[in-house]
Amino acid sequence: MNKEFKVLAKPYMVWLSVLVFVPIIAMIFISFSNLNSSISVSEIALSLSHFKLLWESSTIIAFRNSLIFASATTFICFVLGYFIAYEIKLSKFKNKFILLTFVILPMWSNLILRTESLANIMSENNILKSIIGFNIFGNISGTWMAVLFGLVFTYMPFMILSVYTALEKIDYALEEAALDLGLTPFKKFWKVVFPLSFKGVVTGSIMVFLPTLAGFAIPKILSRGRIVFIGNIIENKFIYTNYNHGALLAVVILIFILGSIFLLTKFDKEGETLL
Amino acid sequence: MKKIVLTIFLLSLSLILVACSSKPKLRILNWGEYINDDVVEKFEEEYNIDVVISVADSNELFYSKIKSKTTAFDLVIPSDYMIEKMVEEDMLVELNYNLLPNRSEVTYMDGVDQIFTSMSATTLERSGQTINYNNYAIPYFWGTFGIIYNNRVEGLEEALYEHGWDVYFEADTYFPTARRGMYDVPQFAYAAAMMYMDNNPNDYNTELLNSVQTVIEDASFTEWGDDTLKRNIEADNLDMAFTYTGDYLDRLYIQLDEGKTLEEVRSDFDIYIPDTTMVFLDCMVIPNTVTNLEGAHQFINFLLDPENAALNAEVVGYAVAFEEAFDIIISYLDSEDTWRKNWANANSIYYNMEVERTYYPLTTLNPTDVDAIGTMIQDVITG
Repeated sequence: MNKEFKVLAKPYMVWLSVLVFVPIIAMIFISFSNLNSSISVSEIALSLSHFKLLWESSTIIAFRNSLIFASATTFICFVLGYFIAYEIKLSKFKNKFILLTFVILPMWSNLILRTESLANIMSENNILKSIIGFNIFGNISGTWMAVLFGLVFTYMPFMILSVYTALEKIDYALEEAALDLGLTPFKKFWKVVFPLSFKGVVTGSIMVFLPTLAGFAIPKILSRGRIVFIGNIIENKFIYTNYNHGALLAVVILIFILGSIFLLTKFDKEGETLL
Repeated sequence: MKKIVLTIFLLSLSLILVACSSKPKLRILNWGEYINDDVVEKFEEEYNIDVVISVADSNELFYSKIKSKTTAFDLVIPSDYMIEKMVEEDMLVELNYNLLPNRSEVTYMDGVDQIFTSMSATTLERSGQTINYNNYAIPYFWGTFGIIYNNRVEGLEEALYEHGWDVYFEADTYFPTARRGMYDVPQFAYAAAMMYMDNNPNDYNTELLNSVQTVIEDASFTEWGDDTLKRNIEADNLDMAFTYTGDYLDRLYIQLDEGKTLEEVRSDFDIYIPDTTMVFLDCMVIPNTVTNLEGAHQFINFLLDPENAALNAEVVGYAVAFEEAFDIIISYLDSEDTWRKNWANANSIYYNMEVERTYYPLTTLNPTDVDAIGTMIQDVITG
């Protein structure tokens, strides 16, 4: 039986190595060499000349934007998402699955479509305004508020779901014991429930932080091209076939991602919240 | 078990047999929504060739697909600057004009000839080579760039026709309230600023780059977009944007289809084409991956027929490249069919060839310059 399982695991291992490991190695190689589409094999040499890109003011600002927006989005998602998840857990409603379905409902429509619609109703004259007569968002299209709103709106479900999973696993007996031993409900939450659900918060934060950090579609659409994330710069580098610069920036992002995963393993040694 | 294997074998065999029809194939690499299916069908029937069309959405992708040779394309439709690059890297096959008898039946539009001349001139300057691009390319469509503007803003139209580029780049002087958008392609923004400064948009040096940076910074655009520009002007969320004339016509035709009249649409939003403007020319070229050389020539010859070219233009918002095809379109001005009449009207207004203009196709700058322009634009945006 075990042997058969091993065989079944092979296709994915092949897929993983061909489409993940090899490209990552290629990416690292390209960012350290002068390789490009019009160079012949004999001329390939290692080169660190691309690294001055990292000191370019647009690169630094794009990194700063990505980091600030990713952190702010994660924080807002945590504050708002945690309590939604907690409310769902406490809710007397029998079928919690339906509540969770509502949470992920926005994800059923395509991300780009959703973001484009958001951009539309955030602009001065839009379809919603012509129906209800006023602008619910004001005219924030093209500003940082629009981008932040879009990011929170998009990634909130990831936070809610991972926090909820962690909350669900907490044995109710522990909470009863805490109350029995004289803790107030608030203290019980703070000393028992929150620490036990912290792994969920970490997982959720990473699931919000990473896509926000590396993303480019949402800021591009909602800021009307005026707020540049590092993802936008990478996209542009690849569109204009400057693979070396694109790869270099992608490697830098990779370092951030590996760092976050390292952080995750510190908090969650069994990795159970990721499952 | 044997039965299952046999069934699978038979099934896959029948699939393979169905896929291999005996007809010869012609593989075309094209832009999306850039060919009239009726034209393809007509060609397939007439020449008994199976046309397979693949789609890519940038010249750079065309380049990498031809370069990598993963699919053997017989015909590609890249733009001017990419044709220069492809010829330079020996990726194209010279055309055999003996197989293109229809070429003598058509006259290229004046603007198209200007573009070919300009391409040869920039190549000469860049690499010292004299190349006649007519040896490699037959024009497919071409088009100008212009400034789409919101005609609901009073006085904007008059200002544009009086001061041209200045209104767009110095809005603070001419029209402080106007919301302006720029096309999100660094070289387009660079070229627009260069034309505003009365320079050739294909010139490049560090000094020019710095003055362009100042111009674009001062213009403080409210949006950097692509297809979003035309939609925002249409929706009254933007007042001016530099973009393809075809982008405007695309929205125009959609609104006409919805029952508006040409005058109604034009009073909402319209396009101003400056006297000095950027143009592009897309051409049919045969890459060196070609396997069906005869079929590729047959297809090019087929589209050199003015009637087929005009038919092809019916679904594409850009300008036909042959005078004879343009005349066919203009003859629809008296047509009973409202759509054709509107279409002829739009062509006579926006692709009016009587107006003398200076047309600049963009050339391939060398990669480090393209990069410097890209970085400059990013610096302006991140401010």
